[in-house]
Amino acid sequence: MKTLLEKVLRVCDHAEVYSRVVFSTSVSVQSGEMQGIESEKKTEVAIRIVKGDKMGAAVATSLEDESIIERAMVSLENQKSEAVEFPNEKVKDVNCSSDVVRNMTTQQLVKLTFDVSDRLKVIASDITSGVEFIKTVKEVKMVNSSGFESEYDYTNIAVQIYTLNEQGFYSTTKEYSGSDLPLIKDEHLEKMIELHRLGNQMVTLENEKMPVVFSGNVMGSLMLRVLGGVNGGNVSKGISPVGDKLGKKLFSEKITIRDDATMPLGCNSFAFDDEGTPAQNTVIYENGVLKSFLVSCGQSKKLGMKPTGNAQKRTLFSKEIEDAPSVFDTNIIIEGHSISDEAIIGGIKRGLFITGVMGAHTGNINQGDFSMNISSGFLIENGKLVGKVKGAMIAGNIYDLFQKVEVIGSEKEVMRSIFYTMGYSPMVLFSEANIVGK
Amino acid sequence: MDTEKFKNALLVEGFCDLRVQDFSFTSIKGTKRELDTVAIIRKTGGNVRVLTGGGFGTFCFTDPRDLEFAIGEAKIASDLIPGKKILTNYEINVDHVKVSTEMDPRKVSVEDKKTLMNKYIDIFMNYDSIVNLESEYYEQFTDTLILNNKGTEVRQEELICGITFRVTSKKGDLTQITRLSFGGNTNFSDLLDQDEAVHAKAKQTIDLLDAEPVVGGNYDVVLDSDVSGLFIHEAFGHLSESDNLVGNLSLAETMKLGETFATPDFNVIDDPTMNGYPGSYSYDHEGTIAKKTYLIKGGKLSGRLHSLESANLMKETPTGHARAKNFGFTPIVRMGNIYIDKDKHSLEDMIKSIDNGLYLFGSAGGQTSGDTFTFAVQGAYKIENGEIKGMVRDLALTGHLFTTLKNIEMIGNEIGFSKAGGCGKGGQILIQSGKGSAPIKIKNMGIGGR
Repeated sequence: MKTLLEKVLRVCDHAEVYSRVVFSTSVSVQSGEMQGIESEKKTEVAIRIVKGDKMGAAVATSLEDESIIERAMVSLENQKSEAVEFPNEKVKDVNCSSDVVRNMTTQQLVKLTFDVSDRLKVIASDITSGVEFIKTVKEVKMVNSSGFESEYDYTNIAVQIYTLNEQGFYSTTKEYSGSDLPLIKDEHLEKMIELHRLGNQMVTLENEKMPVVFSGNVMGSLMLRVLGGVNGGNVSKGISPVGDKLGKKLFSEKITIRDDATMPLGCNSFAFDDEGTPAQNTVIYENGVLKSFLVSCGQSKKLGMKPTGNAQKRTLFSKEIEDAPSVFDTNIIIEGHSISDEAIIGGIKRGLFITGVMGAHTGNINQGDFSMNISSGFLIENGKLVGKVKGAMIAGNIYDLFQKVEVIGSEKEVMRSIFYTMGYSPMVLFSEANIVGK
Repeated sequence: MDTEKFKNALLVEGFCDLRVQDFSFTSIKGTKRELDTVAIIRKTGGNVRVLTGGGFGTFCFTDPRDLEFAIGEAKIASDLIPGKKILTNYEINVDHVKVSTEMDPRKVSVEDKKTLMNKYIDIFMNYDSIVNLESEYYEQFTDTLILNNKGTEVRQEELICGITFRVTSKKGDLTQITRLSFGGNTNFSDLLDQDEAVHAKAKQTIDLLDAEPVVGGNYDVVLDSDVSGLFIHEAFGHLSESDNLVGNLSLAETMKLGETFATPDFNVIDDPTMNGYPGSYSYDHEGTIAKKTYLIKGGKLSGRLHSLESANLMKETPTGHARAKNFGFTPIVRMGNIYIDKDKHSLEDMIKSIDNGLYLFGSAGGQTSGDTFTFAVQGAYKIENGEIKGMVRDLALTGHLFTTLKNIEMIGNEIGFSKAGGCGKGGQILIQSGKGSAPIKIKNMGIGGR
């Protein structure tokens, strides 16, 4: 890496070299049969260069591919991004890897996958189900011309469990993601089966306003919109609806939202972000008050804030390496006024429990708008789930909806943001939302 | 590419294939008036698959020195899968496909591409009510060698370029977003001289600010070609991808060939062999020749899209639809260019047939899960007593596939194709995915507002 850095510095004033080796294996079982095993060992390299007040970037799949320098120069000469100062701050250890996961063989992964599949079969032999385990190990290294030189290891196990209805379509899902092996409790599997069986009792809704509970997993679809507002890129471009609202109370005081890259064994924990800023725990909304944006080095100058360690060389739809880092979530943590999940559902006279949505990626995300199909939702009557909702949508804007947070649950689930996981949330009760029924 | 070295590395037993690829991607991105990112990505890597056990073991690598390790690991993985799967139905193809096009984007300088982008950006941004514009020029070129131990040796170049805009207008607190795309094929000249379309889109985005929000409910609707294309892609196309049916007997039963899905005038085709669209190609990434495939013929389910694995398992013919985003991914079944074929009705006749409904225009993304689909559209015109009236905004559609297909009452007499591809499945966003349709009339469609 240092050799590449030296070569790069011959054509520019300052430079940064980032490289990672990603090993991953995924194993999936459906209806008790193993579908396939996919693995990869991939090297990804990215450089950024600064010359005068201009900056360029490029990526490659090998440290020996020197065309990366020439391509970074083309980028520097043609793009209008302002030069950033590469950081050199001390990196603290973050617990983001597990030896158990790193040393796990494919044979062991296969056994784990079959084990969960067999457990589901014992609970409900009549239901078709599937299980997928994905193991990822990453070795990340970075050097820059400011003197920064650091590295960290990352491991992750992601598990997806699902059931299929009689027509063969997805019915219920449950997922886990973290640096270590998750604890998949029997009660989680039993809950899935209970929801699956409710699919036999379909109910239709009118166009109505009602209390709505989002499961922790589905909170990701709303958090995508919360993040659109606090993303330093959107704030500095003047397209965030909350860009001028720091210190204002925008949400219910019952909710606090953090972004914590330092979380031990979190699904997206790391020691430093993709431009070398050490991992941080940033409170975004505290008891409903907007406390901070998430900013990269480039945006920090413009916004007069310190970088929050959220710069990542990826996109919303791809984790393949990108030239320029953008601001993304690490582990979003939702906290606040919490009671048990049972007490939340039990306290609702008539409402909706949403465990799956479609269309999270459509609409004006940065403005907070959403209009989503409820692909998995259950009608609550007098504190009990009474049936699965057919063909309903939920629509609104998060800046209205989040003022209506009543209470949050106790059991945290991993949140999903379209393709990837984005942290952890318990279920959240909103006192009222617009449902478009039949 | 050292073809002989790669060929010699393949396993002799079972089925073993190898895809090695040089991948390059140029992108010029802008926000508002500024072009702030110019990126030229180049990656190289390979993907090997082995079938000696009960399923495919696959391994992706970027370091050519890992080739033998990759093959070894893929074999270990395949052998770990209980059972024994054997492919008997495959083509053996030997070919070298090179890109030839009228105006090759790779020969146009970055400077000239920026000038073109800036021209369109200025047109948009000179309208006062356009407050945000996200622009992108993209150009992807791949040179792929596909080898297997049955004798296939296909080397194929693929090229696609295009421009996309996401346009935001604003009045008070109200914002509206539309999209505009050019190109989606190999020819750079299709991106030139589009000023008129840019002006029209800018005006439409601004006019939407004065539109009324739609009142949620059920309407008789006419979908323009763009929205119909998105509908057939999301609602039906994904279900035609046979890898979903592998190991899912209930779904295979639901998708039984010969079942009546729609009226006899309704035909759906996927055709990667037509020239000049996002999903056009000669060979898929398993080296199978791409085939025009009827999915619905005369209203009945008549075919589906296959990979080697799904075709062998279902004892059907491989259609050449297994594709991967790049070497980093395993080929999965993907649509090429899917479209609803034309019938006899003029757009005017369809509109005249509706007393109280909507004419929906411009797709804005969608998703499907099982038999339920949802998608957003850029806007709509009200239809009252057979006539087009004012615009409405903030529309999202949702429905149940099988009911909606049966509710299609009229099919237009002219097909239009979207200029932008793009489809996500299994963590792979594939830009080379085309869709089109004749306009269609659907009765009783669920429309959600915001």
